[in-house]
Amino acid sequence: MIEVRNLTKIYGHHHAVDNISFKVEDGEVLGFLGPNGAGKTTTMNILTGYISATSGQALIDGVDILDDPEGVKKKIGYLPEFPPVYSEMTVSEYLDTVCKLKKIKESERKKTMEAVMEVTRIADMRGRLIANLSKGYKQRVGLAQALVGDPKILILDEPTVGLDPKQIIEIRSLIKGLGKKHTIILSSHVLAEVSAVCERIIIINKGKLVADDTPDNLSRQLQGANRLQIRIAAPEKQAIKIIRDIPGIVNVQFQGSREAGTSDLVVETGADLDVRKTVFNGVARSGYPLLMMRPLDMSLEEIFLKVTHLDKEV
Amino acid sequence: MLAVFEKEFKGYFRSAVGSVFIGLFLLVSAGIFVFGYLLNGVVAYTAYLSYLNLVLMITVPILTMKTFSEERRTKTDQLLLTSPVKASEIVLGKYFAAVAVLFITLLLHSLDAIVISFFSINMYFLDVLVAYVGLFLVGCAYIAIGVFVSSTTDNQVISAIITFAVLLVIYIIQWLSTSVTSSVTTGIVTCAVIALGIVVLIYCTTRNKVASVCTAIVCALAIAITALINSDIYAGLLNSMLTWLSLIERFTEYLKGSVSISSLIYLLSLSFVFVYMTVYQVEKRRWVG
Repeated sequence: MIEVRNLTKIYGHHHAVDNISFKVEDGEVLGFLGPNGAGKTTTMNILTGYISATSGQALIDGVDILDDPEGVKKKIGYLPEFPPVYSEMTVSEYLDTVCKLKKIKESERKKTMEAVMEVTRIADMRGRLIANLSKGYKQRVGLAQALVGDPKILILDEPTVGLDPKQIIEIRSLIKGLGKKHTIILSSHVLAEVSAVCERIIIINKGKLVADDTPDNLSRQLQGANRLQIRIAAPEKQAIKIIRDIPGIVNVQFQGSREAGTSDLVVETGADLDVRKTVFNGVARSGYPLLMMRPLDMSLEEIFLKVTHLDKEV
Repeated sequence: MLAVFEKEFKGYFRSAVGSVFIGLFLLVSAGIFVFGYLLNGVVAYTAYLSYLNLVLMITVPILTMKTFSEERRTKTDQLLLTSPVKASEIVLGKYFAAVAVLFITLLLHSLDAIVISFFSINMYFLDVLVAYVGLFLVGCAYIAIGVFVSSTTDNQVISAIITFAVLLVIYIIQWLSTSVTSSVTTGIVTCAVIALGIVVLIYCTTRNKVASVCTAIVCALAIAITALINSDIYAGLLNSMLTWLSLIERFTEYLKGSVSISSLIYLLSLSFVFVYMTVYQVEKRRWVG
């Protein structure tokens, strides 16, 4: 379990992380979301013991990393923003060094190396110099490094940066698989990734925690208004008029006409008001056929923009 | 610590740094030997070894420049610092790896002594051995300084230049000791400067104004009382202090074939102080960022 209490990191006058608290239960996959410079990397660096907090605590299984640095660090596998690989080593030399640094017993070293190379699919590259690997492979070597010693907790800082789409899907499914056995914190500014992989999302902006919930709840909470997308087989002016006459409609937007002789509209209603029936009846009464009606959920992108703009606790 | 040592030691030969250090050291020292001694027909092996101190001054910065600065620049220090390894183990591993490279270099270099001993009648095994030990200890101190400088910057070129500058200053201290005046005033001023240094250090570490001011008053009184009672103490104080501080002076003892406990402790503690300061520097970076 990871517990962060009132964590603050100040550089000069700049609050990189400002009084953040959250908990991550065992086996949970937590997404850490925020624009560039929000404090994601700083928080992760504090959790892994690379830097220290100005104030506040980071507890791993109830133990402060400052009280037992070696013990706590053994439980954490960390993939930093830039994979910490030595370019003058080959992949297997590097992983061997990592095994020794993480104090893996000599009898288990070979097995460990094979296992992490297998999982991250870099076994073919074992004899290659890391300097000659592509960005994607370096990233995988970095991930393999984090997996050495099978740590309980994995902290991954933007694990899919620089990978091609196929590799991204592979790494995501890999992380999902790892999530069954490990506690994972994953940072990203790619929202699709977080919603695909994580059960819970924390959004931070300018060092402050602005949201902490499941992706579904976030999207529900933030939706101030219900929105429907509809298509009516009527010209623009008529279509707008028909909708305006329906009670409960707050806003109508014309979105163009995708099929000849039809109009696409986005209809907004007040909060907690289901107008699907009244819309259907209203359109039916007008005599123009209703071709499509679909509720619009707020996408994670929209949530993200809204939250980071509002800059307030949700 | 062994893991870091092994990684670093192998790293010296994975990159060119280790080979360049050994090659350059042997080449330059061979040049000095051939042109300074062999062609002139002079065989004074320990006198020749005294010049190797200068060669170390030039080559050690190359050996140590990368130790911490390169890791910081490429952010590979994140691996070391988030592994279950203590900062002191990281520093010692890196330090001893560089020391091991130096040891190998001097071992290779000592082959010269063996070859020459066949042709020379006045070469005493023990004298030469002691001189090599002296050279090795001086090299260890230089490496400690170089590793410390490397931990303060993430630019390896700057690291090398500053290390060289520091080693040069250490070399020059010896000249200063003969050229400064040995008057009473100089001695008093020296003590005052040292006292001021201590006060500043106390203030910087504790931020306690009262304690700093008290220390300043005590120091000032002590200096004044000593000056009134027996001002002769201050005569030549700076000169003897500089001589005491001079690393070269200590090294010369070894070249003469004698090992005194005080110089052994001096050289070892110089290494220790800089290794300790490096550990402090690595730890401190976590707090300051």
